[in-house]
Amino acid sequence: MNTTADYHNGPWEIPGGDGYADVTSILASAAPNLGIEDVLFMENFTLMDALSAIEIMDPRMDSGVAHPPSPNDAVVPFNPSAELLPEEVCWIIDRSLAAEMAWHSGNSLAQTIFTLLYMHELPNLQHNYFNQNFRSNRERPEELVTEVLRAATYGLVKSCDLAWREFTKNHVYDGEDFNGEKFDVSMCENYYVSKIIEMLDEAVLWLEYGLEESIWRDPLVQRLELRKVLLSIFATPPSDEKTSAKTLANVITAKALLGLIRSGIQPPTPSFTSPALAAFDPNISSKLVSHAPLRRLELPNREEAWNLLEAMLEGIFEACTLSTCDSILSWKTLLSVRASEPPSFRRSAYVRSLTVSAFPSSAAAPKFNSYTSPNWVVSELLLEVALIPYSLPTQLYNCIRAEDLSYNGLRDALTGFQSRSSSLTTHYYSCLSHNRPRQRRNFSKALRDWHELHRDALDLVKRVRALIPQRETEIRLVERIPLVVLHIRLTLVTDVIFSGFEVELYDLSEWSFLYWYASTIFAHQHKTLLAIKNYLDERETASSSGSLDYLNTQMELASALRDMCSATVSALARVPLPYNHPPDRQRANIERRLKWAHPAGAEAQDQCDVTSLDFVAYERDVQRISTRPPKDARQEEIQLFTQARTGLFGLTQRSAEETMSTLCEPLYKGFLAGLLKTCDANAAVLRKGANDERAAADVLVARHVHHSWFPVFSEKE
Amino acid sequence: MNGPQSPLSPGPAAVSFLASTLSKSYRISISDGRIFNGNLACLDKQLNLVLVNTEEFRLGDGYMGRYVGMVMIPWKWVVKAEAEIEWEKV
Repeated sequence: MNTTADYHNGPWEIPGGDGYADVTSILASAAPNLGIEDVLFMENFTLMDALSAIEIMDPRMDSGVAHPPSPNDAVVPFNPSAELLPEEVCWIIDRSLAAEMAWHSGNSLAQTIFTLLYMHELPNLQHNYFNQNFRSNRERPEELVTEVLRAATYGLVKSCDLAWREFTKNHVYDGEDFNGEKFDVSMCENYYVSKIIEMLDEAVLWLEYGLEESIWRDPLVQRLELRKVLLSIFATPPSDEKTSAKTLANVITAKALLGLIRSGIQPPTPSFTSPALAAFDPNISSKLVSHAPLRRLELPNREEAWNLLEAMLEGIFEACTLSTCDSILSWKTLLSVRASEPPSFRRSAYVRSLTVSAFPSSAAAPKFNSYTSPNWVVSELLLEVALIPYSLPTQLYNCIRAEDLSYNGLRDALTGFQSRSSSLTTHYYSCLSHNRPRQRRNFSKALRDWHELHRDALDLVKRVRALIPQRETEIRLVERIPLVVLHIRLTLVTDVIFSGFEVELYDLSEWSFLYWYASTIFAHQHKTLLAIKNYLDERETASSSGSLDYLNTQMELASALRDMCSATVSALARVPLPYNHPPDRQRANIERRLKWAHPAGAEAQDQCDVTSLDFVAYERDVQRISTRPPKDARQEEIQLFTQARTGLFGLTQRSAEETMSTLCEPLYKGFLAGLLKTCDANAAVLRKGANDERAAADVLVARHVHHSWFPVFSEKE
Repeated sequence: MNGPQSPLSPGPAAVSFLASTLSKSYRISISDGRIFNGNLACLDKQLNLVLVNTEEFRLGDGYMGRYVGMVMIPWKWVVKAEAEIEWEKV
């Protein structure tokens, strides 16, 4: 038996009360009489049920295990009525902001916000009118806790509650992008924002007079003002022009306040004996109803927390500008470029969720007739890309009314296409705000549906041609539809491929096929865009040149990327692989890697089959590359990179309106700049050995340096 | 209220007594000061005790409890095991 501790001497009621009898010795004496296999089960309880029991005192399962004390832990226990110095309150506020940012980074509430013990004592923090202390402490006025810290903490918890409501709209993923478990702790859900803002205002008022001579007055006022603005921001997600404008203004104010705070005096870390240090308990999860032990989290330091907040504010600003933008292609450009960037707080889970929430009520939405409003996304896309008017369905119905028999068939085909294309394009836009690996998975799963949609679109064209062969105008409009579908489909394919490079998913042995495949997709893309362009006549483009600009710039980009891919495939032939798979093994790997490229059950000679994997053509090209003299190979690669460079440079010289990057011009230019640098670097390396037959055959090393999509080659040492 | 210490029960009788306490409420005190209150679901030769519908209490300012569900307490941590039963001579 272990050490006996006598709990009955304590003044508190033992949980369970008096009706218990000590059976410890009975248990001990029973043990020898149980067989090694004997287990006593209660009724309806089996071994299977017992397997999910939490083993007590196992730190992996038991969240209540006492943690070894850390050197940074407070030596005094937490006392909510303890009186604090102004700089201690300031320190607590800063640290709780760090906790808030840590929560927004995806950690659990129990590791972050809930570690601030004051939040569990909020109702008790109010000034106790029955405990008048006439000898008020000048250094540690109690209002610092009852007014200032109380208001700041209410503000913090309410901000998190509002953010939680945004998170749980299902635009981002619980457990992946954020952690929504509340552990049965109240987060001021029933408090009105206005009430809490009032509290903050009163606290500021007290500070103005109560702390008049303290150097900490201004830093505290600024922090409370910042919390007020943050609360307003979280309370007003951009959903229309009015709310966007309000939030935009608040973001600007918040950034200004943050600047003031950063340039002001900073509170020092409290000493070990200070009650302020005890305000945070990193092991609070052991006292909450938690399902699994959570590790103790190191909160970001003050600078890091402010940087995160600033980045998030910029992201919110961007979400507001998005919601007032009336071009769906500008949305596409901004979100696509952002998606290809490494993860940053500018695209924190909250910002991304806000972006998806803002989408349906964005300025682009109300531009058209009410009867097309469920399909506004695809209607707008068809209009902006190919100048297909919203009124096309009506025009078609009007043409066919005479032929009653075929009317229903066309109507069914058309409404079917509208609803499917509408849900797919809306899905595409919300996926653009997912985290990149999740986005990649969602895109690859959707490709099968896009293949089907393409087929439906071609079918629609056939029907219309058969029904109203004489209506040239309408036919020419309908014929553009499958091309637009194909354009988006090919965009998804290249996104899936290159997002894989961004997350370093592929083995070196797969690069050659992937770049070759990407070059064929870019070639198809170029063809498709050209075909759409050929449908646009002067009359149409005279009134709105947006489509023509979009098509031209996308064609230039597709061309440049195709050239870069081809040059990369060629140069990769001189990068030795650490091991060589037999060809059929390699082919099996590629097929598994790109399984989304063949829609299940697709017929081989399907005219929609532009994304199929043509190994025969690949082998042919590889053969051609390997039998070429090395000098010629180098020359061709240099030429391709230079060609690509010219195209990319041309794009950087175009205006933001032409490239649909009015919302993100510097970002877009940055994206192009990375590609440009890669072309230049590669051309330079390849030129070095270009004139000598032996040097031209030198092996190379490939690494992604300037841009996550393409490697830079260098001489092997 | 503790009953008088029972005389050392003969082995098999102890086993059948314990079997009769299955699904009754138990209060287990362990060496780090926590107290677990739950219904005994099963026990084995090593005296690993599985409790269901368990609440965990720790001594803070008074006893603070939280629901932990199904737990398995290895005997080596047990300081005292109490069953909610009518005391009867075994």
